[in-house]
Amino acid sequence: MDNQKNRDPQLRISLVIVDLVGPVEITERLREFGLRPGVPLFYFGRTGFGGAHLLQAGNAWLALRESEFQCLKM
Amino acid sequence: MSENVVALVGAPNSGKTTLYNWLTKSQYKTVNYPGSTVDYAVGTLAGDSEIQIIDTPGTYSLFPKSQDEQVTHDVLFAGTLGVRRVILVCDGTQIERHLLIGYQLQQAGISFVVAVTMNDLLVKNKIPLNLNFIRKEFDFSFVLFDGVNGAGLDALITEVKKLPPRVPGQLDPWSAKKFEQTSDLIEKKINISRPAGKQNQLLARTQGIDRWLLHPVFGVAFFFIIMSVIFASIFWVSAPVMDAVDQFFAWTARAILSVNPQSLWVQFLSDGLVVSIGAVLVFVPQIFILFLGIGFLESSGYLSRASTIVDRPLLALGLSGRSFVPLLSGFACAVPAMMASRNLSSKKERWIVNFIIPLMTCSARIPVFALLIGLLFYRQSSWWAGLAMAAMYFLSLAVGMTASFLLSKIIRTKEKSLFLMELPLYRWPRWRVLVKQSILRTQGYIRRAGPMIFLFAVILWIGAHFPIEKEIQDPQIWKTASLDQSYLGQLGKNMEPLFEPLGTDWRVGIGLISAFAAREVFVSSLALVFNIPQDGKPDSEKGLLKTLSQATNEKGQALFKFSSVVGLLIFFMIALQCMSTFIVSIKENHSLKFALGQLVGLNLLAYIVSVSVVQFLQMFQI
Ligand SMILES: Nc1nc2c(ncn2[C@@H]2O[C@H](COP(=O)(O)OP(=O)(O)OP(=O)(O)O)[C@@H](O)[C@H]2O)c(=O)[nH]1
Repeated sequence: MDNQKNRDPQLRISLVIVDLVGPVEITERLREFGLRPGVPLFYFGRTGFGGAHLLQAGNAWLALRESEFQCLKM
Repeated sequence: MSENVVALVGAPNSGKTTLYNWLTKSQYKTVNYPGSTVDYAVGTLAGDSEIQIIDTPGTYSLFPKSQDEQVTHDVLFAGTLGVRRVILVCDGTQIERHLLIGYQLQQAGISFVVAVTMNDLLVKNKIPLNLNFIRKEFDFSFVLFDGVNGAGLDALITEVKKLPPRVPGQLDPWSAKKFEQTSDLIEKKINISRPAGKQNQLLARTQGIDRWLLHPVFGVAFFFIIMSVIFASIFWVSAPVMDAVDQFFAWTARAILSVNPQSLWVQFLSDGLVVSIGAVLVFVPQIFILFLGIGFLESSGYLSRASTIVDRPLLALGLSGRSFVPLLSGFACAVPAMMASRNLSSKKERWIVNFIIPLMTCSARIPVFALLIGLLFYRQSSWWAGLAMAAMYFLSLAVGMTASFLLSKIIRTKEKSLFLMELPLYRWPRWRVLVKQSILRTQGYIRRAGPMIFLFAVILWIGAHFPIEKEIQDPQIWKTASLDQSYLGQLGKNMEPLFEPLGTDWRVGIGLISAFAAREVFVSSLALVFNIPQDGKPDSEKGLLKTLSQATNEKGQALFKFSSVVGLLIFFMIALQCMSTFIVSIKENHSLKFALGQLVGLNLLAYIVSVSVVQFLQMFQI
């Protein structure tokens, strides 16, 4: 997801989680937040300084740092 | 403890503390930030002292990942508290995720009822919630509860009393597959009655605001503006009230003295107690504004956003965005701030955060900074003082961050810190509650600092006026020693070599030493020592700032030069002078060595850095 797009305040990309891969303490917590295979989500871009990724899964409005976001295979 | 104990368990920010307050008629602070409760609180059910209620830290599951989640786990399973029943608190707007703990409670054989909070939000936004399908599938019992007006409380209490008391059993080991299946099932059952997209309307307004407040460019700008306005308004907003308080104490001191100026007791009351206590109380409006500002951030939901914005830069310094909340709390007081660090998942991060928390500009430093900044910008617009105050906050943050960076290089672990932040819905703070909570916190501040200020006012006044002797002409009158000849003067002069490199004299040194009892005592001791009449006229009439700005050293030069004031500001910014912080540091880090290292290290650093800055500035005759 290129940077130019991330600066657009209207950005909203629809995605579906296929798998969760990575350290167990992260994937376990991701599941507890409702992020599990098959769940559709909306991606809203990143915060400043190349920071957290913003996404909505169901009713959850979440911020994930890069290493956590990388555990979501979409 | 009795076995009639009910624990409130649930996800962070689901409304547990709000429900606890309704059940026990307490006034615990509620915060719109996931993870604000880090320790458990125990109270008795209002109207039935047999039943005890425990409020636990929020947890996303019964498999703990941080110290505060461990607390909840232990409350349930360690057995020492005698928990036999549980109220599972679920936010009605997030119920499909929050109910997952219900499944784990059921597995462990725990007797529980589900309290569905935020019901008012569901009603207001016309979001249907039909729990019948879940009830049938899992055999859970539910009570809807409205945390704003308490509706549903009686039904909940009745339901809790019906629960059979049971000793918690064992949890099955974590299974991702099982967890996913249950999540799917719960979501399916909840969604049956809900038209697609209906629930998301609630989020839309919050997301609309976040499109700007979390924007990669504007979000960062808003962050700096919001923080600067809060810290600078500590000066700007409170200035007129402070003047009024200042004049009130000056007037009171004069009025008392006029009763009998010769009496030692009257002098003690006026120049000792009223002047020194007044010197600190003058800053209470500023402390109130600080608490109001932090309270606004806490209740609006912005704290999670601020944590999200700073996560990346903090990561580079060995911390995470989750450290932001303990660090910000450190601006109010280091004691609750260290406790707030339990929310962090990484031990290394907790150590670093706890080490640097005392560097944050806590409320006890406000009187000191305000006085010193007032001296720097004496007779200039309060805009400059306000900006300088905000700069002090950012500077203390910068020093803390540098220390964090260095510590993160020294402490090496493979441990990973988690960020994963849930962003709560924005809420417009309820002003009445906010003001009430800020008043309570301000009162707490006065109660904490008050006894020390009083004690030191007595000690310093006696030290500065004794020994006394009878007047030769009139033996009825006691003559007090001059400041130079007093016990305090003699003690101070012996220690002067320590303070000289800071560009100050022994009178300021006395303040620096007494500040180790409580930082504010620095201000009251300056007020007391410099208020002693030099020209036959009590200086309380002039006001402390004017007195200090005219004070001279033995050579007749201005005592509070730019360099020495800056030196003092730096000293107070770095030094750890608070014994409560030291004690909490031992407890929170489970290490006397850590706390001692922190105490000695920070004070030594404060002295070395401030002396170096003063000496450097003095080379340019500043
Ligand atoms: N509208 C509404 N707001 C509520 C309700 N219950 C709680 N709140 C608000 O939700 C926020 C979180 O409430 P808390 O009671 O602090 O939640 P908690 O579960 O104790 O949070 P942690 O300590 O972080 O685990 C606060 O801003 C409360 O004022 C409710 O029923 N309706």
